[in-house]
Amino acid sequence: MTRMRLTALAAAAAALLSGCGSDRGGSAAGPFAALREVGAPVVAAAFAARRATPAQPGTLPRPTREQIDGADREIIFSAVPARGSGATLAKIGQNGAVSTYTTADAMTLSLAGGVVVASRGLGEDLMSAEAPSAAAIAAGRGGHERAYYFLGGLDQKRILRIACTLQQTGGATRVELVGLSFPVREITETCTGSAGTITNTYWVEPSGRIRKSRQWLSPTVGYLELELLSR
Amino acid sequence: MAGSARTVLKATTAAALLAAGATTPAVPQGAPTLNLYGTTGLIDMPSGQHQADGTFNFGVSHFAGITRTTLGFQIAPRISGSFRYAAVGDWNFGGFKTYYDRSFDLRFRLVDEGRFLPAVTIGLQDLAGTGLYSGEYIVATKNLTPRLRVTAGLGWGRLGSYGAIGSPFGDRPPPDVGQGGVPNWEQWFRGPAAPFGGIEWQVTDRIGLKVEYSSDAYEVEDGERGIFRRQSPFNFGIEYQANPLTRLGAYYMYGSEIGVAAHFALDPRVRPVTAGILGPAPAPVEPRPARAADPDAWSEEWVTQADAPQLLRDNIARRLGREGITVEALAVESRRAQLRIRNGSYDAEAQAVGRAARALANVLPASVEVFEIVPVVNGIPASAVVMRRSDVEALENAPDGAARLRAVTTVADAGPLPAGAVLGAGLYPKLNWSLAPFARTVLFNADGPVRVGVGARFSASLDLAPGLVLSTSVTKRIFDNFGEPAPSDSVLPRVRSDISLYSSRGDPAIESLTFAWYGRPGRDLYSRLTVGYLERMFGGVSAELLWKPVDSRLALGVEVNYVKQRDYDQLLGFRDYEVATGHVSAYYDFGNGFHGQVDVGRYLAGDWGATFTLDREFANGWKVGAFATLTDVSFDDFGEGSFDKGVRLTIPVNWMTGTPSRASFPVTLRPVLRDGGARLEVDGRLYESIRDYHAHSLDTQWERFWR
Repeated sequence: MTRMRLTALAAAAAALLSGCGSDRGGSAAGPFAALREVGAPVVAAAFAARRATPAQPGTLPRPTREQIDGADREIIFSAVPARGSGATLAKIGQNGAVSTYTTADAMTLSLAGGVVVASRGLGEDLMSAEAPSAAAIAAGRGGHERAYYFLGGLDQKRILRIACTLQQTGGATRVELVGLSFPVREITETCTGSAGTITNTYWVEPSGRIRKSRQWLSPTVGYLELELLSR
Repeated sequence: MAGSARTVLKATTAAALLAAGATTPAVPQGAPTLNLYGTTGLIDMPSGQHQADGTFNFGVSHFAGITRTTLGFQIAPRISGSFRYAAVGDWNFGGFKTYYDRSFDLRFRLVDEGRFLPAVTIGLQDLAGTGLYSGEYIVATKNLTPRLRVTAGLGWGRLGSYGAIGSPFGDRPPPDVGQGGVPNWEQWFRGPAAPFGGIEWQVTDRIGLKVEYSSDAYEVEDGERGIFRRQSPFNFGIEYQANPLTRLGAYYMYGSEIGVAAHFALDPRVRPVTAGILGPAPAPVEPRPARAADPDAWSEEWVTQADAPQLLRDNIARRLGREGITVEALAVESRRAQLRIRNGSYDAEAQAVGRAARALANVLPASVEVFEIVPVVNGIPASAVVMRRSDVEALENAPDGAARLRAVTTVADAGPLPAGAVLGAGLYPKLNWSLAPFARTVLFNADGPVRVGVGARFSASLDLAPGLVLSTSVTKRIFDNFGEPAPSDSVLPRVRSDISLYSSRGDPAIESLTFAWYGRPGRDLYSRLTVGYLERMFGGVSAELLWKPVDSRLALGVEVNYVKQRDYDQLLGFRDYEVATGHVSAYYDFGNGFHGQVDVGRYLAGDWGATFTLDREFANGWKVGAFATLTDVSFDDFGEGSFDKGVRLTIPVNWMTGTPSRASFPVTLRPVLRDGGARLEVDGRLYESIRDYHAHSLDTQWERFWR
């Protein structure tokens, strides 16, 4: 309740500072104009940071099976466990092997056959990646090198190269996703660099399709949990 | 901020995965700390270490009624500078109850710390001021363990005033202050030299202890002014690292006083709140169908359709309008398209170009293979970014896709508008206006730190045709504490020293009312003609011509103005001072973020001379620089400060919020504003307008193309 009142207060203050005019898209001039642009997002960030303890990804709401099956496009669910947040995404683009999915508030994830190769709008984004193919992961053995391309604070490319191996880590099991059960095998990709280890886990259907996964995205975002909800 | 700091701390372990250039400013053990002067050091004494290259420090300290506020910058790995504003209470002398003093330091590291060698730094404190804090030192610091370090140094001037061991380089001449502001180099390292030193122990990651032996006798404060009793040369301190950016300290000073300090570190390379770029994701590129699979889609028949350019323009404008990009013009041929855009949204120009490329790929018929994207500023096309659509399609999701696209993209001169181009809908004529709060501050006056006025500003501009714009800005104050300013004592025409008269008497004030014409008279050439009330103090005519090839590090410009001084009330009248002023300018991008400018010519007071400016620019829009102007006005005629100089800092809004914005906080700090070396301030100067869209500037943020 206090938060709502404060938010309303902040919104009123922001409205006063932002003034009015014919065009809000132009570049603001001077410290005051800049201040009003900073005010609202920083206030929002401060409130976001006060959120309660992160929710478990499993408890975050999914769409219903009817909604998923009724959608005219592929639906996935993605959670950021470190933030306790998650969202349903719908496919909006296909370029070669890469599918791009968007949340309602225009954050996107790009997956190459279920393997994360890019994100936009999550904070420290993965701009592009050299990643194993879905077929290589389904095979569940062998080694490869990954390259992650991040955007640094100076808008420069920062590259993480890391050597990885794949192995099957469990027998046949099943994953349950919104009323459906899928037979899967668990494949683990272990990448070890000089300063740490990345462990990606994939639950792969007999067809080779990645049904569910836990994949590392970037240093500050950490891991993503992904579920392919469409049939 | 507490929340974001927590996030930063939590992220540290994950960041360790990145072997090179970690994102988070974790505080490594043994990171250099700051002293009460806001420079790297012990408590009141300096140390031999430096901060990380490119970082800023803002510090406030207080003891015995003395408050020092310092902005420091690590100019290069071995060089740092600090600008300080000190207030000494209970001064009660020379008409000052509280004495305000500005000082500037420079430090240079001679030796890097090695396995056996200490870090050795030579420093000049208050090197060009009135001399209150003047002192020089050479100091060495060595980490004995990661948590324990020792410092020993030798100080002169103020830092040689207690426990001197002799005068190795001869007597110190009395200060020749004159009008101040000039390096008092004849004093440097002269007179008594005294040793100082201390020990720092970082007990835990958060708690640090310091003890030092000070060679500063506080002769003026203790003796002449009686501000406090200096009873001991030993100082003791405890410091607390609240988060990676904030360090707090409490001290027992000189056997009689309690001191406190707060230091904030800012690294332009680290986005403090977001760790990345926020704002809506771009639309994915929709690749064209293979020609064999869908030959009809590749037909070039569409070119014959009369309204095709308008329809395509409207489709593109609708997509880009959502992203804050305005379509200025579109020219289409069967295989080639030129799109002219105004970027009102993205601090990274490459991101605006990337958004435009995606819109073209998703709207234009399949036969169009070459995209020319032309950013337009003030109606003038700044450059043409030319790429193949096939590359855009192939590299959207490719590893290292931005760099690979840049390798097959050219940045060229924009040239004239192609025949058959359709202009953006509803752009000419177009009225833009805004009503918003404004604030005007006057900092660092000798008679008080801050003068402020707040009120409302109405701005409007009318775009008549590409490059032709009528604009005005009017302010009305609601509150101010400007008062009636003290009269200027300048012996020169009062072209700037009367600025406070304009601030206090102009209400309402017409800040500007101009008609401007921007153009491209030829290849690599840009022009501007501005007529009217150009700035708060002058009106007249200003003409400028700039030569700047798109891929050149060098630009040359010439500007001539004939102006008349405006009335203090800033309405339509003029005073009887008029002057022809103008400059020839050379601009050079040295690379590595260093950027220089030299302006030679005649200034507003009729004086002839040159201005030298050096900036360090970070790719994300942070800029910090210093400038100095020397003219044929003598130091005595110039008055306090001897010549015009200052520092400037620009912090981009996007760095703080991560969201799309071209706004920034620009600050120019001058120790004192006088009449010599004063330049006209006119809007829309060409170089800063267009260079963001030239090759070197686009390249610094090219990774944002696919954002």
